[in-house]
Amino acid sequence: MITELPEQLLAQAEFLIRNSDSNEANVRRAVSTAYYALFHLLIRDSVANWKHDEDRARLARTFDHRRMRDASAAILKEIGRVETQTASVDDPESASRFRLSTVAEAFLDLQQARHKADYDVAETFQAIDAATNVSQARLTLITWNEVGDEPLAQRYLYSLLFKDKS
Amino acid sequence: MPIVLNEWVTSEEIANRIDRLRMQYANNPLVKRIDYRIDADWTGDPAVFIEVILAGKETPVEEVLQLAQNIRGDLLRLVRTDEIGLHSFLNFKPAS
Repeated sequence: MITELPEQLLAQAEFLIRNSDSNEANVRRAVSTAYYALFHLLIRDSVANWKHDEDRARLARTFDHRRMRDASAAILKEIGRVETQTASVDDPESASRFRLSTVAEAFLDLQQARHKADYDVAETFQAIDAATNVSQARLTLITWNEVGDEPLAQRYLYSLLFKDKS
Repeated sequence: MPIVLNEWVTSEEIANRIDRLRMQYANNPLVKRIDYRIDADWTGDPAVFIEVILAGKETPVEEVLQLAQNIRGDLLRLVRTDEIGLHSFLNFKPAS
């Protein structure tokens, strides 16, 4: 498996947005690539939990955009309103919940933006909008590194692939 | 195709939540106004699309990125349309 793919995709998205030169295709590709950076990051960290390295690439192919979207919406709803935005020594759990919220929120946002970038040619794609998407992806990769090992984040990873029976 | 909301979600409820965001940014010099619409997301589910109209035509990108980060935080803390089964998507548009 290419383990650095998320970081490489994000670097490519940032390159495209910096060098877009008013070329709308570059702007649209930047947004799409930013989404795939997060998509592959979550898949990479999910399949890393699989014990047998030789099966991870095959397992990675089973992830589905819609399932990941539903899991992200579900964890956002479960976490609920988070009152604090910054990490706090008094309430680290709340800070973790906020961080995970921003990751799930970013997944939904970037996935929707990617669909607009790839398929919706009805109106010009705004470069400033694309810049906020790429920046959101960068912040999300940083945030994920801070929260990814937390139990709730690990449960989120599980839910990206598996749905519990009700 | 018309967008059908859950029966317990009213347009008034959504408007109230968006108003929290509008009040938060009422005096922000970067923001001209905040519009929203209910539309289908890529899966066909209803969602709230929030459009932030920037006050200037050439707002520095760093300022917009910081603004976007702040508004996203406020969507999670103040607006929370996820509580009523709708996700909010945020877009930025320069003043025309």
